[in-house]
Amino acid sequence: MASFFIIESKLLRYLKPEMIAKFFKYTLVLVLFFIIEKQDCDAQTIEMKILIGGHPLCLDSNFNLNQTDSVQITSFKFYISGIEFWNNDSLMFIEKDSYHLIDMSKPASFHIPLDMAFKFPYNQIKFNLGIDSTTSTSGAMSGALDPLNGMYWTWQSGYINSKMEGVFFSKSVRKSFEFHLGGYQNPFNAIKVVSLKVNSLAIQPIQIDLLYFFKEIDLNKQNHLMQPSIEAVLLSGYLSNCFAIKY
Amino acid sequence: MKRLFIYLIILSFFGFVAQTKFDLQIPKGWPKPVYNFKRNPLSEDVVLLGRALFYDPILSKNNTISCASCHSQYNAFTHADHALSHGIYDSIGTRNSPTLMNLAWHKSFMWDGAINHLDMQALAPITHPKEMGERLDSLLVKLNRSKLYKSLVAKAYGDSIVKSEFVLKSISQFLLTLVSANSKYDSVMRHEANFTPQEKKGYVLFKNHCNGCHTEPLFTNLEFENNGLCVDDNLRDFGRLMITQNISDSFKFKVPTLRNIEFSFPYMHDGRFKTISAVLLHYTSPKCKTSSLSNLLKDPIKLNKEERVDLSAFLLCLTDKEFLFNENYSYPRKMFLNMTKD
Ligand code: HEC
Ligand code: HEC
Repeated sequence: MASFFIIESKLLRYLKPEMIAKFFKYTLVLVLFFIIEKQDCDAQTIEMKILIGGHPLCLDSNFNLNQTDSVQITSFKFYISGIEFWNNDSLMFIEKDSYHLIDMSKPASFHIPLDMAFKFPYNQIKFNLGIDSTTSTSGAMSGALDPLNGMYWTWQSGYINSKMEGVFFSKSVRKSFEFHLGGYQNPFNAIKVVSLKVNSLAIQPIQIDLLYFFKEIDLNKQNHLMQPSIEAVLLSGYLSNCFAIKY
Repeated sequence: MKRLFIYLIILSFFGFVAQTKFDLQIPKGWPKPVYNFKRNPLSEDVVLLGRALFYDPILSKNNTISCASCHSQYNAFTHADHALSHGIYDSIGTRNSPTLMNLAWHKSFMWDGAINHLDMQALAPITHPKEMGERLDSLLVKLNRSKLYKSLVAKAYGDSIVKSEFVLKSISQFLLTLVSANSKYDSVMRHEANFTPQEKKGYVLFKNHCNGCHTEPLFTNLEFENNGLCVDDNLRDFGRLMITQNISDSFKFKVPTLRNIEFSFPYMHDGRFKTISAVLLHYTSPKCKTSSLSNLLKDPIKLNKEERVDLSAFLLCLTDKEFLFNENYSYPRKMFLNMTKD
């Protein structure tokens, strides 16, 4: 490749100006091509697949939990932060400014492209479900952390780590549910670490099957939770248990 | 000559590009501010943007209520004549609006410390249905339609879009400039003035009875304390408990500063006392004895009538006229006049 360029440049002085211009355009395209290709091979994208009972979750459509009860999820959003890649006990990669808001109504948010400079082996991915206390106490921010996203409590500071809203039908009685789970201060720190075994050769989508969440709770008894509390910590745990990578 | 010309061009270029830094004077002998200025370095243009927002009712849903409606400068930025805050559609809130000063030293905000960072403070009144009743997204639409704010944001941040981060951080910047440190008390501490004999006696009484919570030089220790007020049966405000859900925090409220206390009536979280003498009467009477009552106040403070007058005389030494009438803090009339608001 390099020798090709040397030959080309030797030729340069015999060429007319418009040909030189053409040559530069040509090399520019070539260089761009290499840059793009290089990015392609080092970029890693984490994919999120939101499911319920093994089926892709569809907003506003009914899912039967059992013989008598069913749910309809109308909105579902959550934060993923502090993404790390590990190989056994060695930390291989930490994403910078790692805050991602996954929003069921915005499919583009299911893909998290990661900016990795080089390839490395890994067998575990770790991240937080929610926003850590340092970030929660650092003031106004933009992007995923913009309070405009509706994931910030205004009456009491703190990010809402996850928000799930919808309706459920129990023996044909209709009720609504709202889970705004968050809290960064002990004993109500609701952030959860999710740690998943992976195979670095083929990174599979992360599946989040909400059925595991609904199996743990009784919607008849618990359907509105909108502030930091022990229950919010508990439910955040149930939600974090929904994350899995299947091979 | 030519060289001078070039220098001038370079200089003017710098003047155009570089933000004029705003120097916040830390009064001598004060602790280090808590606010992290590195994340939000003060600049004159940003302070100006924040000041415009603070005084502009555009922040409320129907353009009637500004921050200054409940925080007026001449009352040390609290609400004159209202025990409980008075917001949009004549709504009455559940608490008295506190004074705003020396906020760079505060580690939490609101009577119960619900807000953890000054930047996030403004979100609470803007979105509160009884205060300004607005949504953040609608507010940004309004601001992005306004020539005034487009131009202020362009100057302050070099950006053509008004973003929520700019709104929040610029209001913070304006609030951070509200420093009150020039009362008679401060002059005496700097050996530029002297207390009268009466004020001096009052200062000694203050140190003995009040300084434990209303600690110099901020005149608050910024902690949450229960000073023995009986709970109001209508409001049933449990204070700090609502945030920590810890029983030992019930009826605790953030200790307010006593600076400019002469002008910040009515007093306490629910504005129950109209005068300083009513406050002193509270401290010298038996308290409502709940388990979280501060040890410092288990027994009534003993002050005879003459001592109460002395103590009041000292409290008036905390009035800072320069702060109350500082034009840099007041309604930015010129800015609102010069720019067509639309
Ligand atoms: C309707 C009246 C009202 C409006 C409008 C209002 N506030 Fe307040 N403000 C209050 C009340 C009441 C409190 C105390 C609330 C509490 O403790 O729950 C308060 C508390 C504060 C505090 C905390 C002070 C401390 O020492 O803890 C700050 C800072 C503040 N307001 C700034 C603002 C800003 C900035 C705006 C405009 C965006 C604003 N306020 C608009 C009534 C108001
Ligand atoms: C144990 C701590 C403590 C001590 C000691 C104490 N205070 Fe207070 N003070 C508070 C607290 C807490 C509040 C706010 C209470 C509330 O609103 O519920 C307060 C409120 C006040 C207010 C009302 C301020 C405002 O802006 O509303 C005044 C005035 C005051 N105190 C004066 C005094 C004086 C004078 C003394 C000494 C005689 C004193 N305090 C001793 C804790 C204390």
